Amino acid sequence: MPGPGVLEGVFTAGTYFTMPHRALPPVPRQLTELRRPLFLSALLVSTLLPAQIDTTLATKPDTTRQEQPQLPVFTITADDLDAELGAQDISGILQSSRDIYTSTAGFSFGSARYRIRGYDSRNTQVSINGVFVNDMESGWATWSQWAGLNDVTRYMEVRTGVSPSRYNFGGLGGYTDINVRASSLRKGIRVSYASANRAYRNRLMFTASTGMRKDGWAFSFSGSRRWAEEGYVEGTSFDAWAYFLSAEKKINDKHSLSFTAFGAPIVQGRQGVAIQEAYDLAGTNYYNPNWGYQNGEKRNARMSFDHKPVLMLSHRYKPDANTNWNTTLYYTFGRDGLTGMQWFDAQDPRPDYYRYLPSYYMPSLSVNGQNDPMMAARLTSEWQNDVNRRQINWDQLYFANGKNLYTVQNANGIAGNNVTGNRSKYILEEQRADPTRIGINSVYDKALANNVHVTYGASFHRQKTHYFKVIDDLLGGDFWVDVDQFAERDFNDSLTAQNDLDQINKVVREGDMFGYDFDIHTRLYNAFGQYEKKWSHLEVYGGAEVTYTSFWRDSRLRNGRFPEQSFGTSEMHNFFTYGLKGGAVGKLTGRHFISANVVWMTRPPIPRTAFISPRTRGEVIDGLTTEKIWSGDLNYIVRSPRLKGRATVYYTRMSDGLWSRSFYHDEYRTLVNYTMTGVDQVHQGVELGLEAKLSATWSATAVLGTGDFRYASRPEATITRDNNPEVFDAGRTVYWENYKVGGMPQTAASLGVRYNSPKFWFAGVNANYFDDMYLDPNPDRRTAEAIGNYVESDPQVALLTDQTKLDPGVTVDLFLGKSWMIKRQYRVAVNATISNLLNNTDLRVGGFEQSRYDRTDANRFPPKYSYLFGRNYFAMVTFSF
Amino acid sequence: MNFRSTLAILTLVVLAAACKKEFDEPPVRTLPTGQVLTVAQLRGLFTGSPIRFRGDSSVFAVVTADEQSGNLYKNVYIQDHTGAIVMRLVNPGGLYQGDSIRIYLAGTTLSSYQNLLQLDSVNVDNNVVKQATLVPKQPTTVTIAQLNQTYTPAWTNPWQAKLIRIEGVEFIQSELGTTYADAVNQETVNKTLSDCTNNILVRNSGYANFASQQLPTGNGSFVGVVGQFGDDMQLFIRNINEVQLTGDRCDPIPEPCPPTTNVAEDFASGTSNVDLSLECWFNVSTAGSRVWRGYSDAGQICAQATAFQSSSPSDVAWLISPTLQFTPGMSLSMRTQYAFWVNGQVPFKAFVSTNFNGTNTATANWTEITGATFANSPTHNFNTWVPSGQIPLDGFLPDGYTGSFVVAFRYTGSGPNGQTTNYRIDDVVIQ
Repeated sequence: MPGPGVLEGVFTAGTYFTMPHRALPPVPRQLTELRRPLFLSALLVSTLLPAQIDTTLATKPDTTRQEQPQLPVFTITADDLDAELGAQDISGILQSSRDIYTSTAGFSFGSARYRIRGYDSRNTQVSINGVFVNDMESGWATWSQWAGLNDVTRYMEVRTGVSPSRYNFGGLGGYTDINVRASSLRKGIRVSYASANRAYRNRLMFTASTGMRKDGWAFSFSGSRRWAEEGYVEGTSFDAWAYFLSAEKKINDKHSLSFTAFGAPIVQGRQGVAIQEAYDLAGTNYYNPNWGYQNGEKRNARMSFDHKPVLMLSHRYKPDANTNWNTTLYYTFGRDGLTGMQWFDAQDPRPDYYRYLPSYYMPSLSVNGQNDPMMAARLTSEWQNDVNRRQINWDQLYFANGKNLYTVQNANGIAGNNVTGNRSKYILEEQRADPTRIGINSVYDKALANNVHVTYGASFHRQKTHYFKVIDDLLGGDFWVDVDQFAERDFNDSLTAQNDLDQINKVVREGDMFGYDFDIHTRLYNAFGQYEKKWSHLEVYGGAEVTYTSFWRDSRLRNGRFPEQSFGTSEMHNFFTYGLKGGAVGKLTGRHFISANVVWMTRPPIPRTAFISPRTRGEVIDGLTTEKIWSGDLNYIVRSPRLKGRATVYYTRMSDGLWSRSFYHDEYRTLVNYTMTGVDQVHQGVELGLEAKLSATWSATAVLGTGDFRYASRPEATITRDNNPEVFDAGRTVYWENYKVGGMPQTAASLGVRYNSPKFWFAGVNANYFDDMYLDPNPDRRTAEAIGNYVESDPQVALLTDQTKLDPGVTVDLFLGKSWMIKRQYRVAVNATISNLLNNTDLRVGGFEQSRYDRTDANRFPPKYSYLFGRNYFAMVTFSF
Repeated sequence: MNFRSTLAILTLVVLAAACKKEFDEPPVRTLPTGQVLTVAQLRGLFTGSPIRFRGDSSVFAVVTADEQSGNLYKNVYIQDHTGAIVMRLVNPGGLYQGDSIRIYLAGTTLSSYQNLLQLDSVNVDNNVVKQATLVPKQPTTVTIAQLNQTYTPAWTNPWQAKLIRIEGVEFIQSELGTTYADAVNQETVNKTLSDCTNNILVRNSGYANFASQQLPTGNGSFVGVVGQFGDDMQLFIRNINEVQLTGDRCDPIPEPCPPTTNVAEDFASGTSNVDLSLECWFNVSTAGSRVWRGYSDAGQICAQATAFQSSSPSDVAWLISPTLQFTPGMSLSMRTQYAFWVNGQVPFKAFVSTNFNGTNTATANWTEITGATFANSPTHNFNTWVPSGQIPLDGFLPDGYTGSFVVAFRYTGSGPNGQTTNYRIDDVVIQ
């Protein structure tokens, strides 16, 4: 990406950096060799560790049954859920501060899932009124909790990277604090309507704030609705409301109290991803396997129902002009649910199941499939012409359920209690993760003499997340029986199959809980302190935090496969972690600055990934330990009247991380859990942002972020199943070193021009470039077990182990706006954005390698991809006074 | 607008939270009954070529064997008062023993597979309507001789697919000590049931929940359904609890060989390329199907095991000596040779055990005999006998041991993985 000449002066291009070789058994050899120049600042070269060459790998006999291929269906880890959320979340990272790099990353790169420095949401501490609100169990910031409240959440302080913070210690990726105190919201009334063709099509928003009134009260209200019968992708739907209320009372000059309540009930029909064959057969890269016709109406099987209100009571104490002491007590509760198909002793109802695709019958594509060209041709024709083949056939599911007479003997554990009726073969279940959380946060900061500023804070949080499943819809049947299908066959013991040993053969109906029922409890105690000092040409800061975290599982069900480990309270897992950070900004001149930041921190494992299979047992991964992180960055900042910009180099190493995925395996008919310990990651790269004022009306921007985010260790994997206590394998070495971290473009660049008319209108255009996008490697395909039987030269080895890289792409965005003042009192504004103006519908921006794979036929379970939306728009008219 | 009233109205609007959308249930679709056939009438339609049903017609019957135990897959047996037939399902699952069902025939095919008449392409969701549950059929008692009677054409055999009981039967002696099927490789295995006059095959899936159970050694009653493959009649177990072989055998197991004081075996009684059957020795496969066979080396018969051309993912063959009474100072000597050595394979090991029960290798504790010279590449040449030397056995047995023991020779290989070394032993002397 050629940048403006200015950039070349700052960075020395041409420091070449060779991807090291990965070696696999039986003898060390080169699998892939990737060469790519990485622009590195001469200043940071010394801190870049030379990448190790992964050369030794002992062959180990494959004693497990892992040769069975593997297929994911339900992605249920935190990472996956939030990846889904992230893709469909509207407000998320669109909120950016005034830094051109950060704002471009938010506005223009967001659609391609760009993540600043490759960090996921866990690395940014988000707080509201100073209270840390990242979910305690997943670590992720749940922006959907306040989505649709843009009018009041716009007052946020955002810093990326390690930085001084007067709210908390901050995360590796920085912090975001949203101030929603009624007195700090701008006085007035604002009504807006937006039309769009993205996740939603309409948005109506109303906000009214009084500002601080003479009687010492301030009030604010905001509400919105966002909705779409059908979004950009066929079969998706959106219906979200949002509400916000805040009242603040200034008691006297030193004390004020404020109360805030907000929430956002969101009902959403989700988009699913598919393999390319399905996209090609359906004739669109936006094919969505999640929906089908029921009675001629489109119905989506993956509906999310989300509503987690937050209540906050804040006390503000300002004894003098230099001191602030803010304390907030908060409570949040609610529901988080996602529906999905479940079936018993019946065929897979999902239309894109691999055995329903023509390729399954084409041996040229799938050596282990069945050679039946007639069947392949028939399926091809049906996929192209019959919507009931391509999509879920709901009517057929009702038909099958409505005539499946069955007698449950000794139902509900009562001898002789026989229940006869139509037993549903197919149902919709809702998987729930309902959090309840309470906490208190108190932060004190004071400006001392000699330009010293100190901040101290402490907080306590406790969260309980209730995990369970409910029958959402029996689809025409009378009941469902709470047993595990595979266990019933595999063990000659009917008790093994029971999901609830205390109520065997439990008959459940719509609204009944089944499957599993447990809580994950989390406690967090945190204290931090920060010291800042200023001189005329230098500012420095240092901070430290200590955190004590505990978590455990408490289950109300005794599961037939794990009668000993499933019930009751698990062992409590406690972790003490800490962080130290520091940094400095030097003023070279009034227009040129150099700054550097560094952090060393540890953090506890995330409860959601620590448990091997929380649905069935309280066991955690062996060798649970804290993650260690160190990171540093070096920045050059220019602020002149005509040119503003920043250039940054950064390096981060995270060690001893955890990784876990669960995926549905159709041959075991259960979830397989793949967990890894000792996952190290290195994230290093360069950020450049420049904003030039060309004339009084014209300005131009140039932004480049290029990084190298990769795995830097050989983790050890443990593989288990949800319905069998047998451990498939433990201590399996995953040769993951130097594979790229997937899920985001590692390189993104943007060039833009903008015209600002003195007559209150503006227009601009941005061209964006995305590159170095990878799919996250499926760890098991990079093991000795996966390739053990192949000779060195076998092309299957490369097919199994090479990483999938997505093609680079270009998009163009257009934006314009105009505003008018009426009677000097009323303001009307119109804004519009057209994204992906050139309607590039072939740009893959995400996806995953299927967890299930066939070691003798790597193409049999190809990756699933998701595509950037084609041309889309967002247009808004605002009326305010 | 007044600020407070605006606020009140909007609060109401917002609190009217989004309701969950309810979908109409699709109208009930029924499968017409049409012409009703008995199972006998259905079977009678077949005259040698497949019949695909198109119009409205139905058969009423009861499910006699289902897939629950894992022994049957995509096969369900049904029966009415006139006859029985096996249904081959498009997708597994959904039918259970004792279900009274109506099969709507349109879309299914009546055909003969290896002489077994079957109703093929049955889609449970589309072709089956359940009428009642828990109305099981009782098995008909028959003899093996009746089942083995030949019918021409074969599809007229009225026993096909019937639920039957046979009294006074037992598994043949040579199969005792083995399991119902190969649960390790999940391979289907035939076993032989006998009433001491006639024999019949019992076919067991490696996926059955009883696949890893040892065959019962007694005599008694057996319940299953009747299948056929070519000229072979086959029985399928539907529930392992219905195999009650606990009485006295009609072909009694000879007294086990009494412990001996020495063994000298030159395999001369064996035949080239025939599985070895040596008195008081135990020759068994515990994975795959390969056992030790006779092999002629320049006219001299020795014992050989190999996984060459075996399709099982894993082959493990054991040759276990007669039981010996241990006296201090006893030793083993033998000679070994190999052919077609495969690098990476460990084809041969020798063991001793003091608790082998005569039939089950899995329950015994085995101590590997180390320190012996066994033929291997590249130390030795192929097709060349390598003397083991005199190997004292004291070290592999507990101190001061005076009880009985056996010596076992184990071959391990895998045809599909190319681990196909041929391994031979001869002139085994334990004294």
